[in-house]
Amino acid sequence: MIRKDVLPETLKKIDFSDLWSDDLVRPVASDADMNIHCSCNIPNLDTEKRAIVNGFGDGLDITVEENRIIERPIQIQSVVQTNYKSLVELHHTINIGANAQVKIIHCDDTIGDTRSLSNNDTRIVIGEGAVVEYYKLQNINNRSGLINKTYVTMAAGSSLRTDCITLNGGHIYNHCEVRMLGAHCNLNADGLYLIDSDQRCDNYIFVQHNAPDCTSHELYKGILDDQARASFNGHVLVMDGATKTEAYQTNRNILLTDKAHVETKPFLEIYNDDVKCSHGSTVGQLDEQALFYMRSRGISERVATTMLSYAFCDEVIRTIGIPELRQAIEDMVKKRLHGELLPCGNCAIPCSTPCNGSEAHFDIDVSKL
Amino acid sequence: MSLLSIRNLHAGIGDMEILKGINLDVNAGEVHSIMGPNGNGKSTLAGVIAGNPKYHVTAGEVVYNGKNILDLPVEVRAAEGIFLGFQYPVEIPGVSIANFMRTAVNEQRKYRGLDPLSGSEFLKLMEEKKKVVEMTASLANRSVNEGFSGGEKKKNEIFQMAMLDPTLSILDETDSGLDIDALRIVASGVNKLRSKDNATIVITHYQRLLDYIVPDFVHILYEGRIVKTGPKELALELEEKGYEWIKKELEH
Repeated sequence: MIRKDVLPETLKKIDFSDLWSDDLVRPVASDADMNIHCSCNIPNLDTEKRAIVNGFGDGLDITVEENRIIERPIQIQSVVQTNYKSLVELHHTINIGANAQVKIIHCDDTIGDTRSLSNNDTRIVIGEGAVVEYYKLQNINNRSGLINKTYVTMAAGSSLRTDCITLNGGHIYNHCEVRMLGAHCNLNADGLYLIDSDQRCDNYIFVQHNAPDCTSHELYKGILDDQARASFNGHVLVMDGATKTEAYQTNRNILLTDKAHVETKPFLEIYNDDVKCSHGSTVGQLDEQALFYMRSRGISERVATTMLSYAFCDEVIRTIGIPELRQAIEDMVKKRLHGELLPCGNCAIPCSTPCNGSEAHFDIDVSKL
Repeated sequence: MSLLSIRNLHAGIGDMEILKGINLDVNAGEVHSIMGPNGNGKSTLAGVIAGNPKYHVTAGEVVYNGKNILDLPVEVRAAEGIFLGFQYPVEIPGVSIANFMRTAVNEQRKYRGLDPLSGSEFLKLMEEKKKVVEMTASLANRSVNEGFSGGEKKKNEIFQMAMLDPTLSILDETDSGLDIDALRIVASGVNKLRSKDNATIVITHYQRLLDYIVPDFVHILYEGRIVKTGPKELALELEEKGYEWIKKELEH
């Protein structure tokens, strides 16, 4: 059962109080390579799939042996599909052995427009010298909420690239904690959130530098339309002894309307002199000059706005290390910026509010010809 | 009938009036040069014709091809054949030049009721037009103007002009920030694009550019009005005597 008083502050504003333990739903299946018709099926991308439909309790337990290099990405599909309001709780564990290399794609999806709240956590332990890419993709319906907690520890010499892409959802709260326990760790943690209508997305990221010679780069970007709300709360903690730390934290937001609202709080806490750190945040509108420049070449305002919004997102998207996934996310972001509700985008199951086939016109980037 | 006819145009930013009654006629096949000291309305005039929302028109009309264009959106004016070469071309990180131009070309074609160019047709056109300004770099992966030198930015403007094949081109201080080689390339690009069916307005501060792009008429814009019009020799006279000469002449 969910007790409202233990929810994170920001989540109190959206009311899930009608969800009780009775609403917890049992997993339907967790078979490998089960074909789920949801947006997290990436065309042309061969992955080792693990799907969980609904569920509570223990989720997936993934262990990658020492020195193992896994070429084929592992994909966790966490899908909510019920005909009645539901509550989902999953705890995933991922253990990556020393010097192993692995890419993981973790999707949260809903099928249909049933109201649900998912409360999931993922614990990732990264061994010495391991190289890990962990991509989080979120695309749930407007009536659903997601509390997504990720706890990572990194041993010496390991590297982690993680992108958290929020495409759609009623209320999404991402809570990410990364602790670098050994020297020479390298972290790239990026995020992208595209929200509109009454949606809300909160990102909290905590990075702890415990050992010397570690670097962390954070870049979170968001576009907010209508009366959407977002927050970024970043905290970098550099401990005494974590010398030669490099830590950079950036949050950039574009508000497309006067009613969209963002709160941003980058924060550095440093107990050490020998560091290079910076943080910054911006909240603004699309560049008027650029809009005029594009329109003066004959590009309509609508298309110019979309192209500029996409260009803004591109800085995060291009960091994705799996080409097929990058392509798929590019396509999804373009569709999203065209105002198409994504859960229906690749969905084969008709829901009660089907998307209208709105005219999507976005020129192919000829650089890919 | 003139291609462009401007009558008693008053315009400004906010409460500040910059253009105070401009009259100008431009016919197809002509090159006009607008000269004048900085801060007297040259760029404002270019911006108003192109439709920059920054400026407010308070009186007068701008008739292009028989239509008063002042109520038309920027992109419609472009599709009607008006091109503005920017004094400070804007950097657009994340948008490749190829994608930018393909979208622009195809949106203009759509406006004219033509089918969009296919990828290969477009690439062919792009390679052909790159030669106009002696561009060699691949444009596919470069973001619009991002990290370009001053000369590259201006060459890119003329490249875009070549791609869009406008009827009326307004080049706002295209010569500023150019070294002599880039100036020659940019000017020869403009000359290659000249025809009896199109017209060019060259806005410049210095006579130098007019050695390369020879105008049919030179206008002097001073304090929001065109105070003097003459043949190309007027530019030489201006260069020799300086703008003080105009000021003195006006005082008499």
